Amino acid sequence: MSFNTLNTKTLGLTNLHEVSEPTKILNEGCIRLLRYGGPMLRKLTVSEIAHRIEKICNMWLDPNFHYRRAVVERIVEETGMSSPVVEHGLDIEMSNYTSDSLLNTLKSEIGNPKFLDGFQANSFIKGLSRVYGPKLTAYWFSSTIPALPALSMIRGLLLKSPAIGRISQREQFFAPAFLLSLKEVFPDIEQAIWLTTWSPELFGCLEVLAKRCDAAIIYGSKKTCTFMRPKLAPFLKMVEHGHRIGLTLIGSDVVNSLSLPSLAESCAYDITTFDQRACISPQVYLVENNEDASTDNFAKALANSLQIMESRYPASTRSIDEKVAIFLAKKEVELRGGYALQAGSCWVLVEKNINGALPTIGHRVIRIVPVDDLEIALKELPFLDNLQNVALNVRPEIQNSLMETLAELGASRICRAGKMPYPTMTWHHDGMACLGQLVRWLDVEI
Amino acid sequence: MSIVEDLIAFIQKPGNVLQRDELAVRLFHDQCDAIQEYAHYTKDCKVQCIADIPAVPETLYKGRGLYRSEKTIKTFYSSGTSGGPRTAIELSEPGLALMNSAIIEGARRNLFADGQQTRFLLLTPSTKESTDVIMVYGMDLIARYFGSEPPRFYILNGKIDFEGLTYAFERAVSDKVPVTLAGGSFAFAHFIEYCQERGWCTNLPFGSRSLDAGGFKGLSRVICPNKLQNSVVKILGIPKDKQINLLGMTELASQFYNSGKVMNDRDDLDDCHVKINDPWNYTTVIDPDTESKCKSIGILMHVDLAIYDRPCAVFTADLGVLVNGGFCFVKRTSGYQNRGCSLIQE
Repeated sequence: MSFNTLNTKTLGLTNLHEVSEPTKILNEGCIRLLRYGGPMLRKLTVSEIAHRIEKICNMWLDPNFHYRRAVVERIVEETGMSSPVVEHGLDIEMSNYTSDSLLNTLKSEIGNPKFLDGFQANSFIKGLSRVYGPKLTAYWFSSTIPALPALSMIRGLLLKSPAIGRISQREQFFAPAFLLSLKEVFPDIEQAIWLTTWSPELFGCLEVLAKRCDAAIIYGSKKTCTFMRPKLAPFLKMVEHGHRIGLTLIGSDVVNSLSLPSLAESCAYDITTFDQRACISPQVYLVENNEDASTDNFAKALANSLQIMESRYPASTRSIDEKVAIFLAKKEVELRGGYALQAGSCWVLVEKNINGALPTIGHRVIRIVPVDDLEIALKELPFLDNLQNVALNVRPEIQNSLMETLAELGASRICRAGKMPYPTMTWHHDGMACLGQLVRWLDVEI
Repeated sequence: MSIVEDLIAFIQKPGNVLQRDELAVRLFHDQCDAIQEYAHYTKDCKVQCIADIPAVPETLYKGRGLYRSEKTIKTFYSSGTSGGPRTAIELSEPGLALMNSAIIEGARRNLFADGQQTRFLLLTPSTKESTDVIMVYGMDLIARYFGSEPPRFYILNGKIDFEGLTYAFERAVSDKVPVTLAGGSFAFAHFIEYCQERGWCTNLPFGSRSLDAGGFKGLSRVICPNKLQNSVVKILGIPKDKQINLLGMTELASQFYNSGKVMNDRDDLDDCHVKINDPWNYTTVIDPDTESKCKSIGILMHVDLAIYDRPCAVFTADLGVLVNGGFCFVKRTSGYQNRGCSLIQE
């Protein structure tokens, strides 16, 4: 497929705003998926599906793969991200989907992946068990991260669930291109996955999904999730991936050690990857302060590393609205007695105390907060409801205690700085068994 | 005299620019003395006139804000319908008195310069129903001060009383009493839609006028200012020069009225109405990249000498541009959530 001919029509995307009876078209599409998609996927073993997914994702890892070449520029155009950031994001996402990681995820969440193929011995019940994925899953894709729609589609395929996908109106190229590419390994994939787009308010469409689907995987803002929940959650299994915030904890001994430049580089990588748009991206750094001015040392080192990192992974273009938001954020920090360090087009906001530990506005704007005691500071964070991914670089004596506290506060992943963008496929995203909670079990005890 | 008494005296009888700047510098120092964080924030600034006063971001008031330690007697909130935190503004007794004088004198200069007495019909809830919204408070204050009789409110329990309002217009016509219709721009749009659907219109007595505020800010109904004006001419017979739009913010104490001039000669200011500064406030535009004053579209920064309790200079999240005779409001940025008084009727 050439770049010139790529548009949503050639990609087979159905825009429900352009049809005269959108709910009727949507309903018929769902019935078609139920009739043909389920049987088509159930013919395959879960192992075959995992291997086919690995094969196509390996093809996507080739920088010259024609689908990849066709969509990267369009994603850049539509999201404002720079090409190196998009390419790197694709690499990270696609390298996650090996057959081993996919089957391990199933093992982690349902025990034996073959439960999805047929009855298998289950020693825990001294009988047989069988697992069924949803009869029809609805996907609601966001536009924040390039290639993220692949994750929902892959989850659905592993569960042999046909799916209707609704694509964000801001980024309409990756998901259809990925679906088309799946034809190389699943020739009849169009019987199992159908992609559409419409505005959430299009009358009657969500009601069709509520009636026909038995599961939904929703990526969206708090506003989107709040809008969708009453319309879908009472009728089907709804897995929500809403707004989340990443955090990094740095111990004073680490900052004052010779490894500071390497730590700063790792942190800059965490921030830069996915352009700080992912739920796993850090927004706030709590730095244990001591007499040696740890915070200021760390801030300078991070600003330096962010600037260097930007030469490899340029930041997104910014609208005037975003520039205004950054300007106001800087002024707020100054008023709180802190200061703002420029790092290329990025900003390091150094707060005076824990009162400033607020989420940032993204766009590689990072907040550093000096604290006397990491444990106490954690409990005072104002965004605990949205806590997600935490990088922990502290001395061993306090690590276990901080891990316990983070667990209690709701974090769903702890890793080292520099590894924040690399959760495994098996990670319990948002603290959930994302596959396990979608399936239905049948146990035979005769 | 205290700084507040002097400011009220200036607002009621404005002097020249030098007198304004002298008061501005006094107010700035007074606020630095009373607000420690602000003093720290401005410690390297040399303030010699109103334009030099360092501004604080409006977003500060989504949090705990920055205030003198005087007793709060009134708090106003932004609508907060966007789901984000609501802006909260606290006022002390002298702060409220100063704000009241700015609201009244602003209306006297920009809405009632002709001294006309009118009957006020308000497209807002009453201040009993909506106790903490600055637009409702301000319009009620103007109506009680300038109205020929107590105002009547035509939003009850969140719904517009269309029938009551059209009846009130018809009575005003039969009584030959000029009317001031005042309220949120969004409520105006609803009323126009109601009248258009029913083919209802009238011709209000000479001297009638309208005042709308709040704009549309991304709401479900959007009418451009010119279309709104044409509709009000058709439906109520109020001439365009008697239709005033007001730009107000919970974070400010004063309001900015239309000058009557419309920008037709710039593509980026498609039919924008020029807003004017009263003698006690000052507006400039800041480039978000360079953080310096600019002639192109940028961040609107206002200095409002009617703000006593908190720093009187504010960086807004609004985009605008300076033009001959004032400034144009271009749009509210979306880096921060939409909000505004007009959302009451959404």
